[in-house]
Amino acid sequence: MDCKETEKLLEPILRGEIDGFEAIVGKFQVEIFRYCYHILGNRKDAEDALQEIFVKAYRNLGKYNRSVPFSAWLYKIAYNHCVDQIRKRKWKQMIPFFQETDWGESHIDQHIEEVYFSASVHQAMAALSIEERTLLILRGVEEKTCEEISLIMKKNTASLRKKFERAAAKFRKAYSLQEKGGAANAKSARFT
Amino acid sequence: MQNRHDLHKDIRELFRDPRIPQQIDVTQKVMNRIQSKKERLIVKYKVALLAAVGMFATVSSVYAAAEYFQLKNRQGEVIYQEKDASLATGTEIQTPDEQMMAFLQKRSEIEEKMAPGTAAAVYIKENNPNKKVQTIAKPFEFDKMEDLQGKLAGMVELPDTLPGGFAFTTGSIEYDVNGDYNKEELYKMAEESEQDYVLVPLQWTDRINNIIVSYSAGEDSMQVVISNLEGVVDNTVYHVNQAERNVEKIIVDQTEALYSEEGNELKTVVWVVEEPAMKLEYRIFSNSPLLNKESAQQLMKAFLPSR
Repeated sequence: MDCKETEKLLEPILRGEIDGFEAIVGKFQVEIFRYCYHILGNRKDAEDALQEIFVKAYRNLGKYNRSVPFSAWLYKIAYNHCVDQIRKRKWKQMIPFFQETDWGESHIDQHIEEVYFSASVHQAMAALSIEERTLLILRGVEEKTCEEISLIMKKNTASLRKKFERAAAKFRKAYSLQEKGGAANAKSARFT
Repeated sequence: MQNRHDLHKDIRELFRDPRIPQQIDVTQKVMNRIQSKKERLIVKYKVALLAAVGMFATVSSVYAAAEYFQLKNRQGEVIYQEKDASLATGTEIQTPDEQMMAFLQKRSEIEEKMAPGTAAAVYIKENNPNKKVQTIAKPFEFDKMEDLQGKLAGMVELPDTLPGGFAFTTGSIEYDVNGDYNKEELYKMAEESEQDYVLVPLQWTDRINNIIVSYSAGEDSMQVVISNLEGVVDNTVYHVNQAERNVEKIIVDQTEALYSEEGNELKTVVWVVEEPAMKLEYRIFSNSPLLNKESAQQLMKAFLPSR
């Protein structure tokens, strides 16, 4: 969506016409969901996060600076929300029943794939920090520019380029290990 | 030559797996939340302001000097602000038209018919060009302090009497409403109904939205409104012609409050209490001559939690 189109949608909302926000949610929800899904590694958490992100965006709409693209502002809220969620998880196992049950590896694999599309990708993503995961998804998958990502993550573009290359290499290495070794290390992996 | 994006084609393809969920729709859930009273609090004043500004604009196009007042907590953070209407952003001067007035009248009639302690999602067919669904909440009402206290279960302490000989008369509690309704279902009901509105009952959550308590002393009365501020961002109230209000800051037991008088009649005291469990705004209104800057401090003490 171009900026002018977004501006048109925002004006009535800022005048108090709340219903107009429905179009904003409709326009951006799929890409923001995709981002949360890969960062949080879980469909249910991503769906909950998506709701919170849009509610936060609505509450703070008056503070939105129009010199920044609206999608970058929304991603910034999503990024901060995911960082908070992951911090909250820090002392919890993401999949707590790993500790409580004695399932075989194939069962663990199957469980991961119920919440995320691939156990191997899940484990490889778990090897990355949230910042690296964000770079991998936004730059490598969504093909956002480093300039746009710098607005989201508050980092300079030169360092982002380097960090992205390192994150991609790290992901490839972790993924190839998973593909070779299966989910043998699943018990110790956490998306934190 | 391979371009930069092709270098990472393997990653891109991995993350374009058809097993990744492609469909998601949280629109209704988000809209239900932001249309609930709690989420609307942020813009509530702005919306109320539109009408007020509109009416004032017809008699005067000159706004008063921009003044504002703030209350801070013990950490020095701003927890409440009052500003002149001219400082409100994102608002537009407009006068309520006949259609809006008719819609609000109908809404008020429906609310009147509802039993205390009930809530509903209401769709009014007439004068509703944007097909808005309204959440109407009718608070629980009490005429005995012990019943009100019983319902609060110690969450908020209320005095039976106030300095100046004021005694409890009535009280109400409104909780947040679980706004989980289906708009399309209401539209369908409306199509099939001959009535001019349709509604579906809604459930309360266990989160208090506000408590209103009335006290009286002979002919004089006083109203105390306690609002739950949890989740409220930027607690700012905009007043039309703020400079015409006489506002003074008072401090009681290290708690800041604003005492204001408007036209020698309506007097208000407002302060915010931050407790680990709740963040509450207290607002006392009265026309009584018994409420003044000195008695306001005594009244505050009656509500401030003992430390």
